[in-house]
Amino acid sequence: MPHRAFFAFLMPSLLAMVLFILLPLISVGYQSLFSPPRDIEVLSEICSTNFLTGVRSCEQTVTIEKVEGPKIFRGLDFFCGRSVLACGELATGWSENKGGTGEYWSKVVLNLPLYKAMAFTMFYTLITTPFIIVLGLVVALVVDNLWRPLRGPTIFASLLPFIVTPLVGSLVLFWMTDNTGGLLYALTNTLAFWVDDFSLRASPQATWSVIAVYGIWHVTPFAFVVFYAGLQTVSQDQLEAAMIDGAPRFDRLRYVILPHLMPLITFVLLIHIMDAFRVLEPIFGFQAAANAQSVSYLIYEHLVLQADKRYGSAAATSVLTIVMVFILLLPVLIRTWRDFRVAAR
Amino acid sequence: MKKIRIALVATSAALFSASYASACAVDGAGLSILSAAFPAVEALQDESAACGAATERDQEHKDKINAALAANPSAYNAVLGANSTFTAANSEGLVAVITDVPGVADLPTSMKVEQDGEVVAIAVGANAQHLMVRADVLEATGMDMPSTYEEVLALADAAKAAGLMEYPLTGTYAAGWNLGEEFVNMWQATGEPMFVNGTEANIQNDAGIATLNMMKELTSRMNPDFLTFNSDAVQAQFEQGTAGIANLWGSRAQKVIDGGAALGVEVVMGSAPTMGGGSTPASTLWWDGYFFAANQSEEDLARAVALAIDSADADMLAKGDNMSLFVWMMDAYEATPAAAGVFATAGNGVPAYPMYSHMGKMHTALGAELTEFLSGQESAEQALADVVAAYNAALAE
Repeated sequence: MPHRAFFAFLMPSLLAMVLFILLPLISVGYQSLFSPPRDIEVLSEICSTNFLTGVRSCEQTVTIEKVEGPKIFRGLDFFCGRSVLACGELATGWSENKGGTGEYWSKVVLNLPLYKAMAFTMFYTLITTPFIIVLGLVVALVVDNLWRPLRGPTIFASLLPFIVTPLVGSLVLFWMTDNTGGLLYALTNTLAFWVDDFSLRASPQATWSVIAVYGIWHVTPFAFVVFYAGLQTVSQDQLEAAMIDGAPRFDRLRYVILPHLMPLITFVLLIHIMDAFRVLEPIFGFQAAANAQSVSYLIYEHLVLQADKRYGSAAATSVLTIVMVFILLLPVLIRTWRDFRVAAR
Repeated sequence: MKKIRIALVATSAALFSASYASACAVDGAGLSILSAAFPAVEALQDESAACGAATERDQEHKDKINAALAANPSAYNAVLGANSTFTAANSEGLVAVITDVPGVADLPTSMKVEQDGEVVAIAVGANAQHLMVRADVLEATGMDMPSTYEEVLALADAAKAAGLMEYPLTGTYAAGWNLGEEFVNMWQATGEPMFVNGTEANIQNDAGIATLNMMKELTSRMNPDFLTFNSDAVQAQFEQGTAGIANLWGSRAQKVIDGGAALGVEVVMGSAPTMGGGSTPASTLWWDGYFFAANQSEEDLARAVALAIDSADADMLAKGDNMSLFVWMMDAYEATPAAAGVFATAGNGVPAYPMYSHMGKMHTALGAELTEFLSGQESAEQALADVVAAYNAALAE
């Protein structure tokens, strides 16, 4: 297809992407740099009466008078605030002679909300991705070699974890980690019999692992179904030729099937890295906020948990999320671009 | 969503306006009321719906109140909320003054919430976290109902030693809002002000350390998963019989009593304990009640107020088991056994939950920054410093 025709076909969706993706992104970027003028705070006194003792108690409260006016440029205020990159806290910690030491990382950097969240988010993304690709491939190969009448039901059963709503799926697993009779809890405590009664919810290590297991369980079917579709298009001629040449099963997998699936592996990688970086639902499902907070959870905290919304911090965190996703995707994108140039030649 | 609401209005209007119109002193047609979705407020909402008003019940209602009331005209005429949601809406100037609205002057004093002498909200019920202990725990240990947290610790140890349960003590320590509330409650027992000079945090001191240390003492006797325990989880532990001592919300008392009855044990309700030799119970008194949108016409406001007063009346209390659902503030209310704990706590002079507009920021900071201390990864001093830093960051934005 000539490039012109290609773009003509693409135009409607490009337009939709500009409207629904690009413009909101620009708006978020704008909100991370500007804030409305500061409201005027007025002191007043508020009173209620104890229904039983009849004692009236009053306290001072602040009400806010909205100030109308153009937005104020805040520069990097929001980005450098403690809730986001915490420039000031990092610098102070460094100058207090903790610079460069392990203590600096554990006591200063990882004590700040964004870096704590970043650590968990990176862990989740980097741990789940390889498992999902490999397990997805294994399941796809197994199903592909199954006796035909069994395939349909097996595919359906294997897809279930992906169909279940993330919140419900994580809640089911959360209950299984209950230490008064949960299945997963009992199982891990039986397997690790030399450890005395360890909880799957009480420590960051355990919580992180359980959420990663949930992530792998939830997304593997997606990789499986994509790879399974790819396996149906492997050229039978090539496979037969390889067999005639005497290639054993493993070599056929390595030199014929995997190269054929490579574009799909890239696709699954791209989608999953983007998805994994904005992990949110399991934090609620697993009641995990004490031990694991993701970057998306921080945005939620700024926007919803706070009585008055912190749009600035939320917008700055969102911008950083976009930047981080882009950095993580860079190797995959470069590779895709190279392949495209080779193919175009 | 809008469609669903219209459908709800249509159904409730069709169902109720014909049959109940005679029982309604106020015509609620065209009015809408937002509320949470626990039994006591649903009883009130049923009354309003019967008079033709649209009622929206949503446990996450606090997340949308301010945006809804900021619209002009407001998306709801009234909100059936609590002191926390009232404070958040009021600090943005979204709440109407109702002093001169007909009917308000005749309300009992305890139902009137006032700001600078003007009535701004109608309280209908009271709630507080208070002590609930299974009677068999007291019997087996031969101890009395604790009145201080030091006695609670001793009781928990004795109950464990008696082999009753592995973790007799439990509490609402889930990271986030619940944990923040536990600190605010415990802080009250120190008698110190949480803020000085207006909005300056005043928790990095001996009182703060004492508060945290008591929380640590308590949680070290709980099931190690305590940082995931919300009210539902604590209630479930009573129902399963895996715990028998907790400082839990009064609005859960009836459920806990029922759960105990199913296991064949009685649950004793008592005042929230004191701490460190103080005399103030470590709890906060909450009110649930109506407040009204500032952005609405005077006629609508008058009708909404009249409907609220009409819904929270003696007729409502007389229906079904409504009397036992809450500690109601209406004069016609007669206390049920489930209310004993809230009464005892209020009688001991528990302070109201602070209605400062900056309290929400402190509460969020506490809920997020105390977890590492309680799980043993951080010192009390560091945890308090983190809370203050997070609070100051929120305040500066």
